[in-house]
Amino acid sequence: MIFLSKKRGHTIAMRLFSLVHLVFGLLLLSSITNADTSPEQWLEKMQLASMKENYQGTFMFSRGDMSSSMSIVHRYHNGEEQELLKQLDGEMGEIVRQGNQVMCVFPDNRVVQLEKAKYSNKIVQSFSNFMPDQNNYRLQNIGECRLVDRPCIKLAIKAVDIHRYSYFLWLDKQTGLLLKSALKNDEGVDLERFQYTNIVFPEKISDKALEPMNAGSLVEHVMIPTVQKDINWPSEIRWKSDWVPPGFMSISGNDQLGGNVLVYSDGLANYSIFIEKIEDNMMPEGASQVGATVAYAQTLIFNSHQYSVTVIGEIPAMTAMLVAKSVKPVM
Amino acid sequence: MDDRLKESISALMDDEANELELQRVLSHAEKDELLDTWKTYHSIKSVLQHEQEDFLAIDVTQAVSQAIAQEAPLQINDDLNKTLEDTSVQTNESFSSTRNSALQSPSDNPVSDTNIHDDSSKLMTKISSGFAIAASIFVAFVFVLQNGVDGRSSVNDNLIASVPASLSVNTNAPGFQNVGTLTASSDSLSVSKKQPKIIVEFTEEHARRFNEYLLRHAEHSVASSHAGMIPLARVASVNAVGI
Repeated sequence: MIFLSKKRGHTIAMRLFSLVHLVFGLLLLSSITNADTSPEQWLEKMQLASMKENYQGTFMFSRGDMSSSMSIVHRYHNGEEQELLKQLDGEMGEIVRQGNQVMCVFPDNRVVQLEKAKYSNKIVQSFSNFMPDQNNYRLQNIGECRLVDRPCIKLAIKAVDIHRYSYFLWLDKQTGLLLKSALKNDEGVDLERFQYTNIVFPEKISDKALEPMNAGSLVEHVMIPTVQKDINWPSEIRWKSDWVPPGFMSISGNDQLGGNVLVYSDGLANYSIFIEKIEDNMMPEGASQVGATVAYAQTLIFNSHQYSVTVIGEIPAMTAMLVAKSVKPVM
Repeated sequence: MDDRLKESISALMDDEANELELQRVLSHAEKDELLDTWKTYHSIKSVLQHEQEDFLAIDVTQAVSQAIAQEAPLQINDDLNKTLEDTSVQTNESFSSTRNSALQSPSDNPVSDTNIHDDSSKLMTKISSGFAIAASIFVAFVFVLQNGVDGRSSVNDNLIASVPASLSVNTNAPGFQNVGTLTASSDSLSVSKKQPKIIVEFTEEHARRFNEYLLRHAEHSVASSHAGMIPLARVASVNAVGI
């Protein structure tokens, strides 16, 4: 027994010694890592942090002239992301995320379930993986700073052409979480700004903190009418965008028979193309813009058949217009 | 530029211009000079009032001309009438039908001479309301493309129409319908900053559609974005302003 106790004591001492070494090693590694971490690695860290960290806070979100404050509770639980986003201004609306399921609870108690992540794509899940083929942004580590009482790293992701916007990101130095972002056009005008005003990283978040306040009845998406339902068109049409801005790739797949939605991404910015039949009260032809998000609507004609194309995304209006005008059926 | 014109610009800036002053400004031949003065005055006003200059680049001069032409076939004096006829011809030649049933042309509603002052007020109210909409929620503007002689698209420098709820855009006008002929050239993009902008008021139906597109787009972005909740915040923030 004595021998065993001694051995156990020795083992504990050894373990403690190893632990101290490990902690020092990690600290050293951390300081080296912070200095040597490339912007691409920071982006990867940011992506992981947004999914796998537990965090709780409030943030301001501004688009153009409008700005709203929201609260967020995020938990990584049993390998699944859980999130509650709540509007703090005006009528209360909430967005609940449980894994792949995302529900929008509107103030009038309508609940819209966003479709599951069918456009998820390995290419765009990691910007750093996308970078070797990506020459359309210039990444730069601008340096360290302080935000919401936390040390952070500031990154610049500058667009090299006029088909995308530039981003400035402030990442929490410890976790990599995005604490602030600014999206700017080519003239340096802020189009969209996001910034935490307070944030904590609790070890545990209760189920109650993730429960939405509003209870509502689920309503379906209003389906976007496809031209296929129009007798003037063949029952199966494939659509293509003849012009794609440099660096953007299709993430919806080109084999969508009958699909009337195309989605493209350059790893940072996304745009969606909706092809519809002409109805009353279509969006005004032209570009409608809220902050960085533009919706460009255009009626086009192919073989005397009319169809409506709407491009929506975080891209400049002129780029959206060029995309919209290039959409045609593959006959 | 003479002092009288400068005074008219100043009056217009202060929302105190009468009909003649408005026309004096709009019919001034040196458009660039006029715009420069307007921008300078606007900048001074902005600085004094600590305003932002987000909409400095929006050229509404022709929009105002066209709106007057459409709304008020006035008979104040010969000069003014001539100006109005000129703008009216341009309007009728350029635009005659509408894509959107919600946007009706008011050209069939002539007003009597006795309504001149009222019309001017209405016009300014409409222009003001246009800016108010732009400043608050949505800026909807239309790029007009014309097929050049070489088949490439270029941006038309002319503002084609304006005024919320009374916009008439003819998608069948010569040169407008450029389906399938667009060449995405750097030339056509390099002039993007000169693009005409038209402010269009969203109807409830437009807003509903816009929100639906946003939701759909958010669906795609949530899956493919690594920026966490920002795609969702975009949906929530639009919802927060009542759409």
